Amino acid sequence: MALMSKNYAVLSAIADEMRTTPNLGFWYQGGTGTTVATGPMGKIVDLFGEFGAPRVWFEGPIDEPAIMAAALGSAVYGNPSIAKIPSMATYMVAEMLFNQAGKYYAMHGQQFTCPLVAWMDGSRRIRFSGPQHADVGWEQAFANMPGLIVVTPSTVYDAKGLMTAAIRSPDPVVFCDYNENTGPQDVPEEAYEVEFGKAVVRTQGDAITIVAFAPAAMQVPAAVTELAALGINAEFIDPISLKPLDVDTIEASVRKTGKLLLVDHGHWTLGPTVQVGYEIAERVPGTKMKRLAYPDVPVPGAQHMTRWLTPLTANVVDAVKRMV
Amino acid sequence: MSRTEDRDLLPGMETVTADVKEERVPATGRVHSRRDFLKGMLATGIGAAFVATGTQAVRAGPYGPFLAGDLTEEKLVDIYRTMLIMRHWELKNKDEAINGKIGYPGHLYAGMEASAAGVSAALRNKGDENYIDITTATHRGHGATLAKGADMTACFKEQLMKADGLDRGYGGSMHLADRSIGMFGVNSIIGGNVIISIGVANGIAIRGTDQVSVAFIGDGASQSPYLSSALNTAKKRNLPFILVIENNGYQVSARHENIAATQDLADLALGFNIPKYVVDGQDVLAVYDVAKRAVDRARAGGGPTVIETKCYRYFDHSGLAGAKLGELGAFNLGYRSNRELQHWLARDPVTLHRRTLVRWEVLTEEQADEIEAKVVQEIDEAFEVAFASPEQLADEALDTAYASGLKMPATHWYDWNTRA
Repeated sequence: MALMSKNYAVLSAIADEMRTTPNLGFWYQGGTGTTVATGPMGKIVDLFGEFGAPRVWFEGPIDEPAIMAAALGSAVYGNPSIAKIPSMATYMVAEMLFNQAGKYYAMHGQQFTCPLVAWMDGSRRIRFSGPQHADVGWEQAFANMPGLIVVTPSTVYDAKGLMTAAIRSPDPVVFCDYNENTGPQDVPEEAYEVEFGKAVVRTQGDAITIVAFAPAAMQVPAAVTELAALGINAEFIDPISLKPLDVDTIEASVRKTGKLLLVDHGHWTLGPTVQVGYEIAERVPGTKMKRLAYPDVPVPGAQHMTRWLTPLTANVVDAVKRMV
Repeated sequence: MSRTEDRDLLPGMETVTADVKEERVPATGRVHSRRDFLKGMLATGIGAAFVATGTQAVRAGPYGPFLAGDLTEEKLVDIYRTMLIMRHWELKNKDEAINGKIGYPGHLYAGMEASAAGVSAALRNKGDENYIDITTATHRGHGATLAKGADMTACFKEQLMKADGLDRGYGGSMHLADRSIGMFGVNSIIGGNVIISIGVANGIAIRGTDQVSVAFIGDGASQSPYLSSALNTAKKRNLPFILVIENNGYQVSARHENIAATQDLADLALGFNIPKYVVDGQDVLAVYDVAKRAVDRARAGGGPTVIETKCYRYFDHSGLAGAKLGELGAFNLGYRSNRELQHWLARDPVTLHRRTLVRWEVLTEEQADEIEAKVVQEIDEAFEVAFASPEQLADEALDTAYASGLKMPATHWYDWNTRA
């Protein structure tokens, strides 16, 4: 175990796989900054420096469909591939994921696998980002697309393990990497996999079940601590992957607590936790349910407006207090 | 008569008519080398016109020696047979659609055979995955699939979406693919196959093999934003990539010159400093000629090429409008004249190649007839076999969306956790 940043953890997971998988390629735009990170004891991971072109696509164009398609074509040819897409451009590659990556295996009668990782850089709702650079919640669109796997890690451990699992998967994986304030965390230095479709119970409790995935999941731990101080033991479940979605773990929790709070950082209409809410409503009738999400408005530039619109720790605490 | 002479001029293009004499040079009627060929040209007195301005000769002329002149007789006949398969498969497809046996014929390729057959003749179509050349095609892809060497019965089965079709019934007309021959898929998103082929070329670069990645598109895809992405990447990364624009003149029912900014769509290549060829798409050997140059260059590490074949589709954009049982070409379509269609039919690519082979004494008329009759018979049999073959299980799709075996529930049933 060693303390490492999420970026280092993910890049080192990629480097580990690149060392053992000869044709694994990595596509991104811009220069070396994207592929270099400093880790524990001053260790450096440098994908371009270590593997070079053409496996690492140094200085790719600001042309996300080209980046995604380059990785996709190499993947169907038989080379596992990773494309890194910046946060504001996730929908630029939606067509490649919707009509190509997710369908290639099925539509050609299982002749081609598509071992592709779409590493989607998540945005942060920080100052000066404004409506086009500060939006989150697009993962719900990809979760709706057939043939894709969609993962949303919220811890360094999950990010590293899910990236390794994504690279080894024969199916296309959308890796939603939200850059909220995840500080360095203690994770194994060697490669390991985190299984898709297995929700994690972060804290156990019997008063209420809270379901949130990244980036909302990063707001919940503080709320759980605050609630515990008030004598309310909330059970916090992070689904980690939206597709496949582990409803069974959530169902078991709701059967115990009878209450469910859903938190989305994406927009209100048809956000991913709507799916959780529907499935629980059907499986555990009578569940008391509430959902928090970002309203259906573009993210304003002014930070105080954005903060007010986002369901943060205080909103979670408030909602739970009203529900129990 | 030399090998270049008997191909006609492309309609509507600038012509310099060579005074073609019915005189055979050299004595064998065969051209064995470039030297013999040029000697022959001079002997017939057309050499100067051909070399200086060329037109029909022109189609091959400006790009250097006539490489199709070096093809073996076996290969030349093989190209003829391939074109016949493409033609008669499509006619059978059309006729059985009219008969109601095929639900929808898709986008018919008839009339454009020289493009895919000529290019594919310059490719490696057999071998392992690190050797074979790889193609993708646009939605009008029956031709590209058959030209690469796909089994005609398997193609019919997929057209009928049967369980043992090329795509096991999951794809159909607009998604034909056969990995075993390096045909990586007909793709019905206009321009989508182009950047996938770029990705394949990237994959080839990673593996360091000398394979070539080819994308077939129509004139309609040439305005796709993917094109600039693809060409920039191909040039900058020096990828073994060939873009073949089959310019049949119409984007659905709109003439391409009303849409495209340039008359020659291959001019796209100019902005990226990529070599381009504009070629008579009725003439399979002219297409082969430029394709061979492009393939050789790509294999040797010389990077991408853009080829535009000027051709024509005999039927409507898709479906059966104007199509009749047993008839070649869809007449009385609102957006084009019957005379225009007849004009192109007069230079039919299959007939043209046959005529060349007969004049070169590669085949006699009788042998050509025999080959055609055999192909027609094989296609009739292939269709019968395909028609009688079983359909896919209705619920299999739930289990086959993910290579990892992830299964999706049947959510359309009342109790969707169990299958009905």
